[in-house]
Amino acid sequence: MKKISLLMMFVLLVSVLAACAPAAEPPVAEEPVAEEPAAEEPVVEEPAVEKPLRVAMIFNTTIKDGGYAQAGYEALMALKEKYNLEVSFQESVGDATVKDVLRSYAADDYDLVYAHELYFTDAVNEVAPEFPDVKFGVTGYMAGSPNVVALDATNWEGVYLAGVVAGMLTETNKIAMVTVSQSPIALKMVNAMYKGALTQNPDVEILHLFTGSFDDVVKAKEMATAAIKDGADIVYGNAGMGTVGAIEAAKENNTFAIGSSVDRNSLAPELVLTSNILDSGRYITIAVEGMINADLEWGQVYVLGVKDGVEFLAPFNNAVPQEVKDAVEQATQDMIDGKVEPPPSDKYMWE
Amino acid sequence: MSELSTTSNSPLPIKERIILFARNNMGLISTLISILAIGLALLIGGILIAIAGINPWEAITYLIKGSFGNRYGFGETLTRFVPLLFCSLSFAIAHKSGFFNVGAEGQLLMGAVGAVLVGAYIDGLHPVLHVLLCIIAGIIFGAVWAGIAGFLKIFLSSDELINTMMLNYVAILLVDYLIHGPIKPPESYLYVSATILPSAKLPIILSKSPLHLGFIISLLVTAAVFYLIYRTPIGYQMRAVGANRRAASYAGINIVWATIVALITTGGLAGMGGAMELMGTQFKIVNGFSAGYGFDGIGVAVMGRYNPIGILLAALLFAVIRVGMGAMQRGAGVPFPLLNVIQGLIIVFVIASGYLTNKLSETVIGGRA
Repeated sequence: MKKISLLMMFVLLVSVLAACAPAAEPPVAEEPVAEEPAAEEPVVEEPAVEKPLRVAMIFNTTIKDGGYAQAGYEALMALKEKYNLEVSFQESVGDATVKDVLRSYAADDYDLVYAHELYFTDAVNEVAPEFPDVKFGVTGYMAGSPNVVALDATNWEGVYLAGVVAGMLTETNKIAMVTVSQSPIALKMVNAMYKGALTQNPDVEILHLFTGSFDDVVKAKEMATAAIKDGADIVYGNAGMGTVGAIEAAKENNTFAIGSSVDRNSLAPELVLTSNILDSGRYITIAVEGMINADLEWGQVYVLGVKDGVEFLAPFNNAVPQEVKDAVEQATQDMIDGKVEPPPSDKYMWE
Repeated sequence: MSELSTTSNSPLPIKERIILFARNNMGLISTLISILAIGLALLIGGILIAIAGINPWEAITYLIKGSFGNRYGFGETLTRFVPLLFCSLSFAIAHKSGFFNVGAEGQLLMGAVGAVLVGAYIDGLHPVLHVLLCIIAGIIFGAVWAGIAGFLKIFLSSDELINTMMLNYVAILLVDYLIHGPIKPPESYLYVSATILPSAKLPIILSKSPLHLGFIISLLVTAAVFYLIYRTPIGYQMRAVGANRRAASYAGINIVWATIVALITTGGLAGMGGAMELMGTQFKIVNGFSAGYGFDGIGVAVMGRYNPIGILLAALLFAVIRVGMGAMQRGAGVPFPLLNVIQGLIIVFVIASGYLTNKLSETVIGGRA
């Protein structure tokens, strides 16, 4: 008898698995809950008079990360209000499953599917050709299909502006810079800092330190402390969570600091001069508005910086005099006019 | 059991008849209890969703619709099912053989490494041969990884529970290192492994869905594994060792040999799961390649009560939850943390229902079902 009921379960399973048709009845569909709450079937939203643009967004972390994803999410919500979009998002999506999420959204007839993460670039470019009628956006470096737009940051323009500030305010002519690695992107940032500082201070020196980790706060702090002992009087942190450690070192030694990514002023209001902000929410705004206004070229990679409002400096604290503010304004204008050449990314400029 | 049921011709008191009915239909009753448990978990989950201000009916509709209601979701569910099934088989076999292998996560990752080495760097093979070689590489890598803990257990009597668990982290960090250098294609911007060649990819068996051949293979492997353990002499020896090491030794069973076979099977299964996931869906190793399949596999095996049908159903349930949760988020906007709560509720309720069934079967037949 037991065997028969096991056999019946197996038959049930096999029939479920075999019937790949949409009408397949899953075993879990027999839940008593099915009868429970007030049964209405609002499967699809009522079609509005004018069909709203449907935008889907995918994040690889929680939307409450206080930085990258949150800025994107908040931009999405602001756009929803402004243009009456129909939006959906999925958070904490791993690199291993993102292709399925992309396909699910695309198959669900979203007009724009935006993947807000560098590591989603390959997946977007793999999935996009399967859905030529859907537009895909990615915060990444490659657009390999005519319906994909990739939006990337210069990753150096904001650092250059921070360099202008640091170059003017250093008295020992030594600036400590904490990054994660010596990768080409990091070298470009270091050189941008040097180049920006050099415009104001011909004797400036950069002490470049790298932690090897995006979340090693302690190591970043130790390295920054050592650099301060070595004579650096401004600490710039651009090392993920390590940035917090670098600022902490500055706080303990009563040294000026410059933050990155988001406004870090609250960590030490007297000492954090400014932060070079990378507003990741701008990407989604540019993608959605570009779609509405039809002025975005699909199949392109856009490298965005100061001119596009993706990179800028946070409000200065009280320690920054007017002449520095003027110099930053001048440098910003030069950059918008295309007068600043991108720094090299293969070696230190001073070598 | 059947000779008991044939004696029920004469009229019996009602209580006896209920017990007799229960005794003869334990399988059915335990299934009903499990389904009831899932329903109860969804009911509580539904109440939580309602408190969060979302229509619970809509949310649960998306759970079903997302995982079964359309062709793509259906295929995705069965794709997720594959690595879960392999990992739970791995845990179940080890459990039967008296070996606690909680290292399926690491063995799965190492299996994927083996498959990517063969799949990406050996060129010019016939697809069938290439796929076979990749699978074998996955099995070997997984088995060797489990073998480290096995070696320590057999020769140094070191606790395999801790060793397999710790080897998970070694594997995760090792793979992290590999994709940062040795197996990263030089032209890639990102830290990922090389992509396997087209000849090493498993074919899709349901068009317009991600469902690949690995699904069929996983069902065949399940049958083979249970044949091995219940119908072969070595399977009997493995189970004897698992039931009582010392007694098995007195009975003349070669414990070392039985343990080695168990190790190769348990590690090989997890490694094969990694190879399937790589060759069927992901094609390259990324950070977070295994979305916790090795750990969920333990839950699947426990929930399925180490029996083949139970494991198939439990793996399917876990896959439905994984896929359906995404759909609930996309469609109904259920917040991600709440989804984790609901997932936990379902698992706790189903495992609790297993204990209830055990208790019940103890009272009616004086032993475990």
